[in-house]
Amino acid sequence: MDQNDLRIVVTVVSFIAFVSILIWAFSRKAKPDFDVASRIPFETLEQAKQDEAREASLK
Amino acid sequence: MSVMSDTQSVYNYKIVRQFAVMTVIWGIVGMLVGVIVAAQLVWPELNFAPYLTFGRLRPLHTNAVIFAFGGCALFATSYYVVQRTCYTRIFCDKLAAFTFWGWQAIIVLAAVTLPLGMTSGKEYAELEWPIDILIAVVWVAYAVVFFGTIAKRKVGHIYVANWFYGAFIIAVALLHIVNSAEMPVNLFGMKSYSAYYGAQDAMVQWWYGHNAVGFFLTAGFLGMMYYFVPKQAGRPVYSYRLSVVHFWALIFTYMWAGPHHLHYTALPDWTQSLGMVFSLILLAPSWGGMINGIMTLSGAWHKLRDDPILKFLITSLSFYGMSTFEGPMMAIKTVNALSHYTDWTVGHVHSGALGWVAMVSIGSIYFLIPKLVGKEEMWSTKLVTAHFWIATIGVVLYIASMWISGVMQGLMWRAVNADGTLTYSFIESVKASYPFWAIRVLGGVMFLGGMLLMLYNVLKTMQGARMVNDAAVPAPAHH
Repeated sequence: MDQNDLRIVVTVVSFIAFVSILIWAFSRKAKPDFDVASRIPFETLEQAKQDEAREASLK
Repeated sequence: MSVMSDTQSVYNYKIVRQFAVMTVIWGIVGMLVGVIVAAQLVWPELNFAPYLTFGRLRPLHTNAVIFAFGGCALFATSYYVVQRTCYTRIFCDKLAAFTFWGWQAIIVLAAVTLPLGMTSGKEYAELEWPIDILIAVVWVAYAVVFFGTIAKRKVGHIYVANWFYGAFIIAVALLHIVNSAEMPVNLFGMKSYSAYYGAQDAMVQWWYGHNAVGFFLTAGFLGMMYYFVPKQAGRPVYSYRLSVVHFWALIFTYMWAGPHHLHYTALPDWTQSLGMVFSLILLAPSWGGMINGIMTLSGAWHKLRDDPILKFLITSLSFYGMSTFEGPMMAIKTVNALSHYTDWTVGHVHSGALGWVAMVSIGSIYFLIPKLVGKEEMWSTKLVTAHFWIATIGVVLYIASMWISGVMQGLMWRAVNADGTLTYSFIESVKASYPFWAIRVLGGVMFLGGMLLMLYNVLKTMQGARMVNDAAVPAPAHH
């Protein structure tokens, strides 16, 4: 196996990895986890209150 | 949901505050040097002494705005975001303090050595070998602090902003160490030669150069976007799924785009074409990310009307979209034949650097400052709004003038007479560029003026304020 075979393998493996990530990201199974993750910056009562207060002050 | 906060555990806001304030200071310094070099092009008399000539100040400008201003903004926001989204104090306060003082030392060393003419001549990597070593050490410390904080997080998920910051830190370490491989002439001199030569040296340099754009100036600032846009808009990111796809698509494509800086050079033709194709592919993840950021405001567009911080953040995304459309277009070989070596490139860089990078940083710093000094908001919101409009008009003047002069230069350089001789001499294109260079100075002065307003506003906000060093780490509601 020469250097170029290694390059081909790395490229193909990377491509398969990327397609697998796409399939995983669009699967229904990932959705609930994503919903939780997207709330991380807001997760606490303390911050929810702050956000509410800002919202109120803008109205 | 519980608000049981661990009294033992408070966030380290000091390190964030230090970097946030230095972001504003270095922004002003770097942009002032930018205005000076822009003025030197209009009035060559301004090249006073050897160490104040265009050739030496120009790398000082790029290093100051990218690594001092942009770098401090990235340090400040990443340390804040990683603590807040991991619900834990930063890992190793002392090492974090070392990254602050180390980074400031590097900036000062750059400001001394570049005007003295000490340079390795590689664009965006001009600093000589002892400084390169210091950068590598500080950067590894940064990685330890950042990933150490991730490792002790109190939530299961690693929030998407941290993925972007993490990729930025790892990629920059890799790029810097590989591209800076060099041999010093002697142990006590500030001169070294690259470990690479010829076309390989060029390829390594632009692999570095373009990924400095892709990871330093994009991935890190996207980390900012994924935290501060949702926070300021008061709602989660439009699509978390899209953010995951956005991240991995950028990671898998950016590394290949560098050759578009070397079209029509000694680089093998297939490499140039490969770079062009991957640059075109990059349009998809870039626009996916931009849409994700802007659509986060969906249903809350009214907030844009009176919130200047959101104005900064959302406008920065518009410029991100513009420059990531322009970039792939300029990477097409036939377009590049016109645009390369002209002011169009300079305009493109500044549409990204002022419009995207600076504006998203400014918005994020305006978000941070009040929180770090125990205030509800900035001293003057009106001044933030004024800053926004002055900066926006400044960017538009800058990039529009560079587009016109760039296309004009490209057309003049390629124009030939019927007998095959060149229609214009080079100096004629220089003469024709003057009015546009003058407009650029005006745009730059406006952008700098906005930063001065920001400094005044920040100082007023901090005056007599309580430096918050006891912000409790709340318990996360999930996991």
